Amino acid sequence: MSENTAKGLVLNKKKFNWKHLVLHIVLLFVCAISIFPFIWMVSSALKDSVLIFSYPPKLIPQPAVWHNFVTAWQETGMGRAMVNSLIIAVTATVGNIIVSSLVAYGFAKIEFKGKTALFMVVLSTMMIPYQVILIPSFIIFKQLGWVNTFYPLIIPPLFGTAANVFMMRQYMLKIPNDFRDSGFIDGCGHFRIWFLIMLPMCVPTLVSLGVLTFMGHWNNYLGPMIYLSSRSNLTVPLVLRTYQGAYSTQWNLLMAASCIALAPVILLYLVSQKFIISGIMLGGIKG
Amino acid sequence: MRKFLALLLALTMVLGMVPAFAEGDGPTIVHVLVPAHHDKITGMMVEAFNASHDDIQVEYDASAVGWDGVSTKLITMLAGGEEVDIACVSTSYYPQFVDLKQVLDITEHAEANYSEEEYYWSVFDGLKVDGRLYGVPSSIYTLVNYYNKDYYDEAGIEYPSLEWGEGAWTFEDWADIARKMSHGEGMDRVYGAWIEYQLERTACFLFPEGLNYWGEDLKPQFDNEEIRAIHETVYSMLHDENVIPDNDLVSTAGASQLFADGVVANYINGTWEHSAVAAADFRLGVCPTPGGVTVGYVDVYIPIATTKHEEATLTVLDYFIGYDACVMKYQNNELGPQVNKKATEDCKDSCFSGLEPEEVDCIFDSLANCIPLTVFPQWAEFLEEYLLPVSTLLRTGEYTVDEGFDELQQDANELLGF
Amino acid sequence: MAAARRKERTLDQRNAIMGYIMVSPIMVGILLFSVIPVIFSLYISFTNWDMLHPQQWVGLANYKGIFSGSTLPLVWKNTLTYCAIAIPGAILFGMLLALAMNAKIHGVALYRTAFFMPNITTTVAVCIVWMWLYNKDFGLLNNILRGVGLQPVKWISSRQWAMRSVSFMSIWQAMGYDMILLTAGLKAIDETYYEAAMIDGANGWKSFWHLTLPMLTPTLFFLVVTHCINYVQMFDAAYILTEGGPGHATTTVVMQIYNTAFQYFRMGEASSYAWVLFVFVFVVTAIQFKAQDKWVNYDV
Repeated sequence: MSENTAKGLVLNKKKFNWKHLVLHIVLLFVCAISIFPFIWMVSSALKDSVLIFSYPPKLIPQPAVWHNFVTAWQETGMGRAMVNSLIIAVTATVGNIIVSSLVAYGFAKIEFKGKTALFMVVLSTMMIPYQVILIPSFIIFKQLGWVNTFYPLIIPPLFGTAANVFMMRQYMLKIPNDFRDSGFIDGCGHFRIWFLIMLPMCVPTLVSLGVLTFMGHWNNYLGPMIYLSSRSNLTVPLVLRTYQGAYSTQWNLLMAASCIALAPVILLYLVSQKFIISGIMLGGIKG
Repeated sequence: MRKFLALLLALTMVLGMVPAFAEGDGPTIVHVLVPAHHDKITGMMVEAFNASHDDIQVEYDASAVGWDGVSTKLITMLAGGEEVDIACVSTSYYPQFVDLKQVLDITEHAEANYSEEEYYWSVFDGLKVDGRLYGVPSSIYTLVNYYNKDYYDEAGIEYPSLEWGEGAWTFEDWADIARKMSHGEGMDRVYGAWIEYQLERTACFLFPEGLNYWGEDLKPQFDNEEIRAIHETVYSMLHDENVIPDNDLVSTAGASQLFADGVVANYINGTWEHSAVAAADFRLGVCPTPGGVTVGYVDVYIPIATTKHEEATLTVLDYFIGYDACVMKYQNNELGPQVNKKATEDCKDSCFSGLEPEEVDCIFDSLANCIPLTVFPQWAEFLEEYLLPVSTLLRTGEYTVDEGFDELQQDANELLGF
Repeated sequence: MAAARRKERTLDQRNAIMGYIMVSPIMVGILLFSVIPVIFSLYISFTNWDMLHPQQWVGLANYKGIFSGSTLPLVWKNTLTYCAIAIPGAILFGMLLALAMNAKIHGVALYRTAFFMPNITTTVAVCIVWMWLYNKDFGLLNNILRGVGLQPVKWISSRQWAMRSVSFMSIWQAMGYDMILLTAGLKAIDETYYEAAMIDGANGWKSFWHLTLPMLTPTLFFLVVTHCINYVQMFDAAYILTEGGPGHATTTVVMQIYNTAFQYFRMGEASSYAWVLFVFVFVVTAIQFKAQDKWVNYDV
């Protein structure tokens, strides 16, 4: 009896290790191909030549020119651009996530006539290629006097966007209606149920969507390119592209500037992980 | 709920801080649209202009990325009625905007103000559409052959002549030298020559022979046997003889990189590549393209027809090709040779670093020996839909020369109505 | 009894009104910013507008040319090929990564960050590195193929393979995105369910199939629907990696729309392509919504 248990334990332990080892090997391999382009970015950011790559390739630049980061920061007005991008991305993302979750609640938890039709209308806004509505949109924003301001980039997302509403709706549909109903019993209206009960339960999804939405705004360049023009209004993606000539590109500075531009996104991602992983505990979905 | 309201309030406050620019009274504002890669030099010129003019102030916009970005933004602004007075467009788009009647005719202004003593008028003449001028050059580039002097010395081959025209080396010389200089295998292979197998570029082999893709009244000449023969030679150097690095290698490593790393001995490309190749470790040489007649590319500042202040716009236009602005472009090594004679004479010696004085002369002499590409209003479409795709198919060996040229002939005939 | 029913009805009505109020923000947003441009573009698709001069009504002329010539059918085919490879690929790999990240192993946080990197690495840098992987002579992929005795492939310089290569790169870039959303979905599954399943004697595979997967179906449904909508409009990857070539082998519908509108100044034609694309995606999405009852599980 005791021998059996011991054997079982050893076997279990062995099996345990072997599985994880394979998993680690596979993950490390995927890891390597995932981060290689990033490593290449950093490595080219440290090159002293404006050229793209030495042939045959050398990964570690000799000498490493850390000054490229300083040049990239100063030359393009990166600081100003980052402030602009932050204003746009943070406002648009925070507002968008909150409003989208409100709308999603409406679609997921309340019955009303024409709901499916309205939802299809919402989704269909994603289906028209941006290129063909660019000019009419520009004319509308011009009529509003919003050209060369951040408004065309910030205000529309504040009404909620289809993808985020859709994702939040999916998530809320999965939350049992009992939670809503227990809110009713406590005398809460829909707004309070949404805010006090649903939102805390959605934290992992809210944060994940927040990160992805922020990234979308941070990297967006067609919108800012069309709507912004003053030097002082430019956003990060536009500033980055001053290094990319029509004929030739200053690769080292472009990559140095790109690395700087990535920092806020990486930071946000790292911080967000805490919320995503522990998120569900905050809501106390248990029970 | 209260938190939510507080947040909304905070949002509104942040939004309130967003700068909104309003135009008041005061100086006339001229709006200039340039591509992002002109940002630095345009910034300098505009600053100098604004400092020296009280009644006119320039506001420039360098947010558009690449030439297609400028075109997209310009057309959006024009369609939306947004103010724009001057735009910088590339060779390919210039005739298109002229054809759409969006550009101010400045022929009289130019004849009255740009004298033969001050400006290289051949450049203006090259920009005329049906005898009328619609813009001034922002940058002028030509194709030249950069080469690795060390490889010539090793092989005991004389450097090519610096003379353009009749005195230049021939297409056959170029092909022979390229074959002789190619050696090695795999990663160690040295390739004798490089030119992008793209028909817009390979036109530089046609011009010396008096050939062109476009005959009288733009009749397409892709069925011309001589034109095909030249392309057959280059095709075989690329695909059979391994004298020109193939598409995979070039798109992976970048052509200028291959040349700078000593993988390529002769490198035909535009003078816009100069600062990139000047970084190379070997002794850099430059000479005419084989045959001595090359292709010219002129990017253009166009005054927009709907401008509300024509006079101010023309003043800015004058400034952009004036002495001060051209000196600035030369000193910052941007945008290549300029149209202003005095600025060119004063700055010639200091630009195109890494070259002997006579080689710098050779680059400047190319201006008198270049033929601008034939472009027509449907050019952008011909380029994107037919010329570039067929070029990539030839470059990757998916098409034979005859297949490619047959298709181009047919497509061009259809597009231009022959 | 009757009173209760009446009360219920008024509650339902009140509910319905609240429903309209809560979805109103996005509806107002659509009314303000989308309706006019969308209707305008529909109108334009029946004209020959060049964006600068007054347009003329041309009826269905633009729509008649939509599948004509040699380029356009190819462009539609490319787009569908891309979707057929990239959508299942991204979701499958995103799912595998999310599951691996949910396992209790060391260094999860590190891996998770690494898998997120492709999403944020500058696309230009990504493309340059992939060029090296795809190189036909000394690229990693062909070296592997040669190693196992297979014929090397011209990944980006043959018409046959170019679109597939673009799709593979996209999968690699998108799987981190899908991983993030699926991880959020996984984290929402209560640990107690697994504990209960364990007690019932379910093994790893069984608990995945009967517990994890059904719980993820709402997220999966979201991914399938939005990927179909977004991937049909693919633009960036092919534009930078292969510039739509060789030939038109990697030109997508939206690339063609962009070129037709802003390079050739034929907005009318471009709008008609966009509307055909719209109708196609709309029908696909509607079918997906109809079919969701068969596999999407919203009950806990």
